[in-house]
Amino acid sequence: MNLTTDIAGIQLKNPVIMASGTFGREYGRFTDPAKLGAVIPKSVTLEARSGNPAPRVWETTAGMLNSIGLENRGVTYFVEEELPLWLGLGATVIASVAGETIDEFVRVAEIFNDVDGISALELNVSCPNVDRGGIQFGCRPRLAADVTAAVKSVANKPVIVKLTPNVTSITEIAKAVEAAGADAVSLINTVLGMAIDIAAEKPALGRVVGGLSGPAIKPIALRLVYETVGAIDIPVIGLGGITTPADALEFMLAGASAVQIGTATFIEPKTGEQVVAGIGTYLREHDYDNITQLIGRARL
Amino acid sequence: MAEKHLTQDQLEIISNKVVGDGFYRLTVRSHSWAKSARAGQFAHIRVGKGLEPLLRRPISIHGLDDRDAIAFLYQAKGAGTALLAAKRTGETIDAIGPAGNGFTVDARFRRIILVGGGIGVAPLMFLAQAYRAKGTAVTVLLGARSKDCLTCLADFKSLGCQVTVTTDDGSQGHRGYVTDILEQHISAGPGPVAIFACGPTVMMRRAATIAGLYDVFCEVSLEERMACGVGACLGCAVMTTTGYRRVCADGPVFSAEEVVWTG
Ligand SMILES: Cc1cc2nc3c(=O)[nH]c(=O)nc-3n(C[C@H](O)[C@H](O)[C@H](O)COP(=O)(O)O)c2cc1C
Ligand code: FES
Repeated sequence: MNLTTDIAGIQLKNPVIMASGTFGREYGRFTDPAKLGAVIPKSVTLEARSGNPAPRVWETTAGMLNSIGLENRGVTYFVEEELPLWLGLGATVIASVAGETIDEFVRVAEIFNDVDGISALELNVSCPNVDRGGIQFGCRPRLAADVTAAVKSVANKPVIVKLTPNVTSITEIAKAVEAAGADAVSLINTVLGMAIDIAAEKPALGRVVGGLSGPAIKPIALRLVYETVGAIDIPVIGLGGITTPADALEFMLAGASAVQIGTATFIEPKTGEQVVAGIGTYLREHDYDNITQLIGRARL
Repeated sequence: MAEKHLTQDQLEIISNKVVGDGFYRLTVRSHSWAKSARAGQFAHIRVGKGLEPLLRRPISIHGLDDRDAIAFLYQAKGAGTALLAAKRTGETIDAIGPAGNGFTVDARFRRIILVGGGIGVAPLMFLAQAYRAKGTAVTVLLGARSKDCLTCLADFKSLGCQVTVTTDDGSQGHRGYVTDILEQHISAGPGPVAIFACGPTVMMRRAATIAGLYDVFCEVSLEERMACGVGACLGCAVMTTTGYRRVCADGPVFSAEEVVWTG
């Protein structure tokens, strides 16, 4: 059985990718990153940046809110300290890039040009938890296209653009980044939401609003993936609420070429491996010999 | 680093019993946990089987029952801990740990003072065990809302700790806050003394301030909402003098001096 997946010009062992911000190197002790399609570490910015005040996470019904705020130690630390660990574990690494300005995205991409072991870039133009350099790039077709085109003009690796669901029309944004040269899109980032801590009679998150993830957002994500697949020709990577092989299959049947797993890892660190195994079982039981035969089969 | 023992295990439940008003004592069998766990560490436990509640619950390790068993003390106060309370002997729990850094255990201290409020006593019992094993004198100052909320008194006493109780309503012991009596205990015997506090933020903050005034070593065990529990998501960050640190991986125990108190 063949689970090999080609996305944006890179070949993955299988279509299961660990989502940015949710899969730290700590998980290397519970699961084998070499068995996964790829790993996308936490988004990196040019310089180290601090995050938002506590509380930063809050459990909701079948989901969670987070307002981490793109905290990371900057691109140099990532390249020197973190990337080697992932490569040492045998992982295929896609680097997630974030920035406050187009120039920052470009400069990080340029640094990655000279780094071996990064298979592709994912542009995080969809973080809802920062004041500048997050979601606003992903909310306006024109800006999303400008970031994409600027990075594409310098990057020597495939570029995936990660889209936000917090827009009126995701297909418009997807078409704009496709026209600007994106090699693939991934969706969705978290859905803006909030909760109130009734004991404290205050907003639950220090930043008041945050991003909802986990099983609660799966139907929203699936709808957006289905529509985006219909609107563009580049590959779509689907994510949002995937916790089981069946969830992953739904996204692939809707037309996603690969999937990402985020929040589910917090609950069960082996989710990624389990989803890989479950997809394999499904293919075998349904007499498919290649994962590509499955993609988009549920499309009407 | 403590982290090197971090594993995911299905731990068999030996017992899971009510020990006070809403408090439960859970013991599980695990030679490896019993061997590697340090006072102040916690287990990140999957309380349900399905997706509701979604996240694991951090539960501090309460102590060693013997060479092959560790105990947890928790308060059933929400949907997650209620599910944990419903688990029976012979069932297993899915636990990640022992997680976090743990308290300092150092024989140079002549006396230690444990300051516990409410369910904050949970990890302090394990610490009392560790220090008593070294022969260190252990004073325990226990605070609770009322006498029904006091647990573990007898357990501390049987370890040979000197225990003093305060209750907010005066139903047992001194009426008032546990930190009211901390100063008199610092000066009540020989040094060097160390203070270890776990409980409500206001209590730990006060203990930290007093420790600062007397220039006494002090560690506090912080609590914050967690998602991953292993250091991956940065969800449990607290502000310190060196910037944001993760309660689950850099803590939960922090030097009182490095905490930037906000509560
Ligand atoms: C705690 C947390 C941190 C995240 N950090 C990032 C990040 O740094 N960059 C990014 O592109 N997405 C980030 N995300 C979004 C996830 O990658 C993913 O898009 C989203 O959670 C939906 O997928 P899920 O429901 O499987 O978690 C984060 C999500 C969570 C829960
Ligand atoms: S809970 Fe994820 S880093 Fe602490």
